[in-house]
Amino acid sequence: MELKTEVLVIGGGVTGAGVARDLVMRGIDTILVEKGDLAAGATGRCHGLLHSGGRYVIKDQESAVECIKENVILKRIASRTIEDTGGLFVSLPGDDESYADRFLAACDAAGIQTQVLSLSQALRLEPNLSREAKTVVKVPDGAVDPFALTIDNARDAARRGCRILRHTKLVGIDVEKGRVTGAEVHDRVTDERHHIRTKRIINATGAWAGHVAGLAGANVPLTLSKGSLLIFNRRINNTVINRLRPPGDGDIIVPNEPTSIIGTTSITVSDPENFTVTKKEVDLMMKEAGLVLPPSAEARVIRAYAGIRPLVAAQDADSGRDISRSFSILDHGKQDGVRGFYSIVGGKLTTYRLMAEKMVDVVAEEMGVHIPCSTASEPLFGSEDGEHYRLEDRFTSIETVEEGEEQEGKVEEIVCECELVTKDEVLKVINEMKTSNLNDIRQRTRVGMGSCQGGFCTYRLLGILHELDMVPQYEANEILTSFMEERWRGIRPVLWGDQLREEQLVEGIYLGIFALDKIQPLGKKASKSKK
Amino acid sequence: MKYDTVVIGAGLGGLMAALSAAERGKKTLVVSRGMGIITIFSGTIDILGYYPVQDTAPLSSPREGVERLISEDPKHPYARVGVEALEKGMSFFQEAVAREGVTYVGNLDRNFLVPTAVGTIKPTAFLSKRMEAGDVREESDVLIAGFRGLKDFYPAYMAHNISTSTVPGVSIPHFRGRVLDVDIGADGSGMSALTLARKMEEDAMIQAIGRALFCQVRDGERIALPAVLGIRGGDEVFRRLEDMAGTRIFETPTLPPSVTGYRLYRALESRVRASGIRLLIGYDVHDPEIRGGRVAAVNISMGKKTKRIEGDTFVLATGGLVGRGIITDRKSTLEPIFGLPVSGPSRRNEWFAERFFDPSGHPINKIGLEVDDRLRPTGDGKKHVYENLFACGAELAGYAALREKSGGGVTIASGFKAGRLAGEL
Repeated sequence: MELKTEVLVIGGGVTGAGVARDLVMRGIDTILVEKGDLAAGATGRCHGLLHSGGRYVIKDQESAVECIKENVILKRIASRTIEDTGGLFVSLPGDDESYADRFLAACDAAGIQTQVLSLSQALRLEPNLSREAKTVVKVPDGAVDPFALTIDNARDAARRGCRILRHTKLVGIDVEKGRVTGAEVHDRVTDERHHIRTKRIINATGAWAGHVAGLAGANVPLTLSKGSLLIFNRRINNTVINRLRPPGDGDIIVPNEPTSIIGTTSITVSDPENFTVTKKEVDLMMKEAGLVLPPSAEARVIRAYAGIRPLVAAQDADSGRDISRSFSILDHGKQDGVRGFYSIVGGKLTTYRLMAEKMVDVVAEEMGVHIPCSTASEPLFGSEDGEHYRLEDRFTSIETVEEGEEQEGKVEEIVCECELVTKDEVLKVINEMKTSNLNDIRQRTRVGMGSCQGGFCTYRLLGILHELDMVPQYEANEILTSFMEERWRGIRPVLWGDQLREEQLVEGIYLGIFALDKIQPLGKKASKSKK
Repeated sequence: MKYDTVVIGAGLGGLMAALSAAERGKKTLVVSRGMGIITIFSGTIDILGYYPVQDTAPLSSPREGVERLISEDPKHPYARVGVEALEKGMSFFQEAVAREGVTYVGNLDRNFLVPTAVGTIKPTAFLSKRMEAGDVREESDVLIAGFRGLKDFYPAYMAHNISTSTVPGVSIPHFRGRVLDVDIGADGSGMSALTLARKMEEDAMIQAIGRALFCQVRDGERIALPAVLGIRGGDEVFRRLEDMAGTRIFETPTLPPSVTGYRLYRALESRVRASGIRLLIGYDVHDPEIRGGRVAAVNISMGKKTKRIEGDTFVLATGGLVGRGIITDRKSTLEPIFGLPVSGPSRRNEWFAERFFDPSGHPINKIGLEVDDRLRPTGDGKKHVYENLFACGAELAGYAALREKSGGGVTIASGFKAGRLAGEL
């Protein structure tokens, strides 16, 4: 198939989705291609922290100012995806107390509102906080759902005419006489190749930016920095907890839905796809969490994961922590002699909108389009009412539905007990998206994201898909075993105590009752295409 | 209180140990925190499905496999138990549950090949008579029948995937899946297999399902149903449905809680009570008293009440990692009651293989207690720690039950032998 567009955006993370939305809002015809699922790279593997800027305020004032401005904008335009938790910066015995004074002064200068709390005020807000806390400063941090934020951007863009091709991989870029003329893409579901005629390509592929640039004969110098995180099985804190000290490993804990997430580490890696969370990282984060939130030592960790930060390379930094989190826009026409090819790299979830705006400014200018950016004022589809997400609403709504329907003698079938996801919610996603992809369903319902990590409900999802005669590309058992392997990567580093015990039970189901251990894993067989 | 034999743990191993000690005329107590994990799993008794464990073809004769294994792997619990105790233990088990109306069929010389709920094929040596007709080597085709509103059983899934399963040398018959149009009284929340199994004892339900099966089944087909054919032992529900459908029926185990496992537990429990064995459930066992190289007593608590229990012999049947016979934390592994030395990797980064489905299993699967030929836990010096303390079941070190498909066999054989040795001392 031959497609044509004014601008082709590569990458369905939050940056790519934000760029695509900004483009179509300025009347520019756009296609976005993503090789897997939306938010599958660093976007979906971060803390979900909406920075106030406090984190960067001393070392990188510029980033801090960007953060607080975007924080205010996103709370308005993406309200549905944000839980306005607030955040605390907390110093503990042994931390340099002069840091607190410099922190408060720098926040003032950057425009970040602060409030120094007494210990008793802090404990009322955050009962699990260490009684040893010395200085506690309240800031406007928040928790943002990176999946929802990306999906809402993509959905909003699609409503405005952007074509979004998921599970479609860029395989080649055509360059003629120093100008982009098109791209070759591979639809991994139908196994078909398409050609896209376009004069402009925006590379928003994060850790893969160097690889994608290489297809055009261009260069993006990146340092890849692995950030590992742990998810606790319960919500230990209600606000974002930061350490009031120079940024280090394992010093931020973000409440996320019914869980809490601690991170991160910062380790330079070479491959954006093959990496693991090490025992040393797990032990370090458990120790740091225990210092600031003592009950975390007894909490169960349900998963470890890591994202790869694409940091704009600096020659002399080796840990990644010192490289600016600010972003870069590369015009490869000027840089490598490939006109119409641009890369947007670096940055962070909180500043995705600003990054998109700056990127699209450059492209619009080149196209002679003079419509200004309006993403800072126009709410995303679904966030028009400006209401923030509230965890309690989710559970209240399940209860209300049950109460309401009980009167008619009907209750909901729960597919995922850990996250209380009902069969109707799952069916809605399957029908609306016409999807049989487990990740699509998971991202939109949280099915399988609770303490058993899909141990029970994945089988149920496949059963439901079979009932609907929506058998995916591969045999269900290959999908199931592959899913279990992928899941294993995340839970293997955090198995001890009760969580290990539960995992042994899951192993008992999959090997004892289901005898799935002699099935060939996905990919070992030749891939079957559905034609 | 004083007993001849005190068994700690009320799972399959503990109840077998208690029955075999009581058979020797010993005054026996079973004390346990819970009712063991039998009710979680499928209720089939695997002896040995694969050997070597990485093999993709199932063993045709478990006996030959076990004999080879004993000669090649002296640390395996079967090498401590021996084929004789395995054979006697299995007969003893079959007789015990048969007296409570639960029939287990099978022997050491062949494995059944039965379909699972996800359409894979599992080798197992002993199974409930209600699963017998499921062997995939039989030529007749199969109707898989499910129920609208029953949770966790998907006929289309099972049928679709079994068509892709292969076993060397076996031509697998055709399976088709249907959801029966029978009102099982589900309220929309998804009925559990246990609830449906209870309802299946009602005459009207048997009538309705029997009729629906008769309408659906084609000539020459067998029928697979989820394991819900009655919660009690006894074959009445099963036989009436077979009569009405006019063909053979077999049950397929579902996700926990498992009806087949529940029936097995109830049968063993009532056999234990009928044998005059005292059964105390809901107690924590702690603070053993040691005198002269022997366990003299243990303390048991429910809430704040603590009792002291003396015994001549003790059998430790507290299970493995699932049963909490072995516990772990971020830094160590521990047998929590006696603090016995635990064999296997102690460092956390050595516990697991890189792949979940690693064919050799995870090093931690083999964690447990090493024992001598009389099933007494040994210390580092290879000598038993306590003269009168025996161990059995998942607590034993050196085997990967889930991958070998040997869990039930090791547990029953070692439980039977531990109980007999305890009863003889």
